Amino acid sequence: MDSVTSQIRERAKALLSEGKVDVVIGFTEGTIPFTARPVAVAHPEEVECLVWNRFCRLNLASYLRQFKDKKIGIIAKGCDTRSIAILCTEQQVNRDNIYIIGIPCEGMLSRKTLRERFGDTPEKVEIKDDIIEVTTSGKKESVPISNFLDTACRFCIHPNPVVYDEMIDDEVPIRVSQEEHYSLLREFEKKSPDERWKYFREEFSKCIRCYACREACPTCYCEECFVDSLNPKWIDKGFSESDLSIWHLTRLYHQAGRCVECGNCSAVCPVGIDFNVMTQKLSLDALQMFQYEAGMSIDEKPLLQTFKQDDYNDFVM
Amino acid sequence: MKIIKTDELLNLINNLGKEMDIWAPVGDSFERVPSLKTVEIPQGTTHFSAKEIFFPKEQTLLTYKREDGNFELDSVPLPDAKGVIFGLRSCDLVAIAEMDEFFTGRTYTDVYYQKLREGMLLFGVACKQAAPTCFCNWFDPDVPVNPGVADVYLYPLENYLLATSTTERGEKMLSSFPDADEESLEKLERFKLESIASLPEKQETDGLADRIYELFDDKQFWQGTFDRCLGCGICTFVCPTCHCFDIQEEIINRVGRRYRLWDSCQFSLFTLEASGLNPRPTRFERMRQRFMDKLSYSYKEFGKYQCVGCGRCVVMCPANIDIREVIAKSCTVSRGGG
Repeated sequence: MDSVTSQIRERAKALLSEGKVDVVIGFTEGTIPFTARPVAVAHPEEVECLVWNRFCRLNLASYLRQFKDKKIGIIAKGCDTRSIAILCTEQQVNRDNIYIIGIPCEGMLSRKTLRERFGDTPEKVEIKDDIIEVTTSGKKESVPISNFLDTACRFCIHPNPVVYDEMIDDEVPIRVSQEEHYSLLREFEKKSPDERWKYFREEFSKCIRCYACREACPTCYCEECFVDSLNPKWIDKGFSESDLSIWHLTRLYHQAGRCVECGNCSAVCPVGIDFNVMTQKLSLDALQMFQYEAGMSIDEKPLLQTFKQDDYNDFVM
Repeated sequence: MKIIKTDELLNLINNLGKEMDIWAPVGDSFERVPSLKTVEIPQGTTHFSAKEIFFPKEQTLLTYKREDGNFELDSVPLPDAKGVIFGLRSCDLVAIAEMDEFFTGRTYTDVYYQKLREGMLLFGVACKQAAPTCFCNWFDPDVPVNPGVADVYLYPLENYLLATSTTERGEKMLSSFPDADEESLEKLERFKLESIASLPEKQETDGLADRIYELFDDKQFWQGTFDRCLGCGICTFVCPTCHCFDIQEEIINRVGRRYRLWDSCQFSLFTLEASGLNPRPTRFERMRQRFMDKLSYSYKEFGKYQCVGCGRCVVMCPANIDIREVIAKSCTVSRGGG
């Protein structure tokens, strides 16, 4: 067994036995290939189901609010810890009730990309260091894992936990520079307005309105989403270009100064909408205009809830 | 049972395509194609079912004008489409039969569905080998080789196909092809046995509707599934039998449109009543509702499970919620006695 997995089990068992937490949110083996599934473990004898592998893609912070009345232990990657920090500063969860077991993250694999390459249900999948071995119809293929990194992970600059109570394993080196981090966006910005608009149109036109992007986003937690408001009714829910664009762009704008670029929205989308360029833009604007990076501390107030005399104000006429 | 060669089948479909759309599995879903180039289709099912062809995710029901406070009906745009859908699996055909019953087989006939459904010729293809996420045999052991409501149903043997039909229009299309000989029929029997043998071990579904019904308020039973549910609508949208819709109004410059959209029992607005009461107020009730409906209510009400075992929700759920586990677990949980 992998040492991170055994340490997670050990720590989860201790925390549950000592009564420090009521529940530990982590990952367990999935029932289908390329998947680790979220699990909430409430008894010390159940910790053996916990695992850590390259398929622990989801941002578990999305589950925190549903255990609000409990003391929660959570297994958290860099992005998960940043989302937790935001939920704390936005007073959605109480830091005192959360015990964060941080895990330095080597980058998670994209189920979608793997499926495109190997189909949904290969017979066997094994990961050996940086190689993934997949057996399909009796034929084994070995491919470098880096080919299948989730886009958000490929450009991640905070793979190590930012806020945590304890950390399992050593920090991992940061693979990309600040500038490389925004490379998708830089490429996108070179395009003409027409080409950019075309990209938005094409991505949004795939939408089936399942709202998985919203539900999986740790910082999309409004009691009533603007798209669901009946009185007033802000927008229509059809599939016209304007309805779909307004829905996605507004949801994204609501993440300004809050999005940690975990990539959950793109990862869960069943039709493959790629939001990564858009989330990079949210992040870069916050950084350039306000020198702010979301979720880097629980002591810092949320960006849009503060005002400073010297705030960026070039947009004021 | 008729014998049909691969190129004859392609010709048949491509000839139909001169007067109608051809739909076939392309990647994740059924797409319109200019012509059919191969009769080979991938193992298992597409991520999205063919239901969208009869039950579009957005459909205009009527349009109207608003003048001086009055509403005047403008048009009732009944859909009109003709097509041939190639590559439906038997589980898909079971699902289409259930959709037919829901939209057209009971007290009310939904003309919008009926018009689109009647315009479509269904070409089913038997499964040679089930995918690991298939479990259609849990509900009916013969499903993977069952023609169901297909106009033409195909069994792909080595280098030709056997074809049968369950409708008059299907029979007509096949009438010019030769009958299957003894040898082909023997091959067919072997094909059927191999297909059925490729399915997983059958899970007990006798009494499933009652078992699930009794587990309604067993919070512990549902807890693990609920814990990981994100609350999105993917499972219901990829499900070939989910048919719930919402009706919306849109008025732009005094011209109004009433249209329907796919809805999902996973959404908070689904059961929100005008009074403000929501009988399924949290994600817990909504998550449970899908299983209750698929595995219990539908059977108790109409004698059919609304799950056909296609495995789409299993494959597509981002949190890996697996309906097979819910069914299996319901067999091992005892109530009252234990």
